[in-house]
Amino acid sequence: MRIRGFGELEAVIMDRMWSRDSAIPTTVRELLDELAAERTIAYTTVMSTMDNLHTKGWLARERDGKAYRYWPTLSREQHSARLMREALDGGGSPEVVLQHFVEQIGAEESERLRSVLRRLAQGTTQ
Amino acid sequence: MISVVVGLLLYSMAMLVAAPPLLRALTSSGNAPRLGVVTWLSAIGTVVGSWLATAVMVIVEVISHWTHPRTVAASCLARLQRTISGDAGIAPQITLVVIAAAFTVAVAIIGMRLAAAVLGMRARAHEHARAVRLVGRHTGEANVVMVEAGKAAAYCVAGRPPAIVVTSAARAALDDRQLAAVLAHERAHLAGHHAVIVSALRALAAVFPRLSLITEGAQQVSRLLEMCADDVAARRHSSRALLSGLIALCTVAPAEALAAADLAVLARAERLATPPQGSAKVKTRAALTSVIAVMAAGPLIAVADCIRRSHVWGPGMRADPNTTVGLIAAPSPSKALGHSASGKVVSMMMMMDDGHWGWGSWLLTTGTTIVFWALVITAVVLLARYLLSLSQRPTGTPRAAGASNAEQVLAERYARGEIDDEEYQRRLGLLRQNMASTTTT
Repeated sequence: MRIRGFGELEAVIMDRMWSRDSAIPTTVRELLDELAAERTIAYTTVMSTMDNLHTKGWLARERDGKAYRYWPTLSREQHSARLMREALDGGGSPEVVLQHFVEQIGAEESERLRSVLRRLAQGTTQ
Repeated sequence: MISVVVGLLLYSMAMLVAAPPLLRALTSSGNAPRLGVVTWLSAIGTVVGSWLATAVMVIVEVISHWTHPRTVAASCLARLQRTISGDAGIAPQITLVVIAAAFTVAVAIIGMRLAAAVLGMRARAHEHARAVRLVGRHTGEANVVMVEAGKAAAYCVAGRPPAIVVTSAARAALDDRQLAAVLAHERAHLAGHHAVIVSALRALAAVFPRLSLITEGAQQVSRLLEMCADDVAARRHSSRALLSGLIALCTVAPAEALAAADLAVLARAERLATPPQGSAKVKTRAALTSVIAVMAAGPLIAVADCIRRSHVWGPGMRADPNTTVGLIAAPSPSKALGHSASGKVVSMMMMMDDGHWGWGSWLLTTGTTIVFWALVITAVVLLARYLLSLSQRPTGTPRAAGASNAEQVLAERYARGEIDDEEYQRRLGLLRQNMASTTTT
């Protein structure tokens, strides 16, 4: 698998970090060994990416001898839940500009809307 | 210079009053969504542009007359200041400083708030796109990520690179054909940079929350952009696939979701179920094009009108700083009404007032000018619509359009909960029967 851009390497690293046992923090070397099985990648690239993820708040770390040991601050599920709250519930007060395919609407409204839509669909198939 | 400023301000006031209801009426059908977006944007753009031009001209005017505070503009401003405060003792230069500073500060504050709002939205969107890429599972398709979530949703967010998010619940609700159509819809948003337009309008709406032209413009443009994206997706796939995708996602809509009823989805579904007729599209396009033409010409005409007027009465008034204030109030709706007549009215008012221009008459002339421009815009729109409806009457489309209108009204009443299932069915059946019998006879 080729890595396209820095963002994609971040995604790959986070994916690895989440699939590891979070009770045992990971060093850059350990992760590099895992990644090197599938691709050629420099130690410094992985190190700077993980450092970057740490400054952005995705990874926490503590010093262990000369190296750092990293672990995810939140689980993938926790991040997903936060992002979906932001996207679907209008998030906090500062909104994010998103183009929803269907805007979120109330339960009662959506029930009425559904029946009308179903009839419209029937109208097109007839 | 003063004439130009007055002309631009009058134009923008007329637009603020007349444009929202007219544009709403013209773009609600969704017959020509792209042109509708252009129309709203040019309405808002010309208004904001004329304010900016006004502010810049006032600042330039004040600075250029700095060394000669007794010249026309300076005296005029001083006179205005005297009228407001009733105090003639303040030196003109202090007044100038205050005015120039006020305009500069106002422009700077508004500009900074706009920039902050736009940049903030951009940063949050990019952050969301990045986070979604880290959290979501990448699908085979470029920029499409799937996020585990119980709520069915599909959306796109601008970023570098942008992301199209499909929740796991949405993926489960859609078949492959529907998913392809939904993704095409979101790609159309990204390709058209719709997020840029929406953020700019939302920022403007946040800075000017009381101007319905801007707040409503922001809403209507988002709605029209959805229709634009629908059109692209329907062309690439089929409107059936897109419509069934829409229905599928509505069906799984979360029970605990919030916000008020938004019938925009219904309008979109109706467009997909019965795509707009060619003739209706042509009609709407012609009406929108004429509105755009009027809006583009509006500021120029308003300015030209005021300059012409200042030449007609200029010499006498320039000589006396007291009456120069009259210049500000002088422009009146003369184009269609015959300017010699309105000119007489204005000069009579000035004589009665002995050159001292009261706020009452200022309001009166300003009011008539706004009404005049509102009438011009309305007349052009109505004329365009009338001419087009004339040319289409023989083909019999109005009747069919009437029938589908009736069904739309019925559907809306049903959606609002004013009538129940049974009544909706009964009335729809009757309408369809009625339409069938009229089309066969």
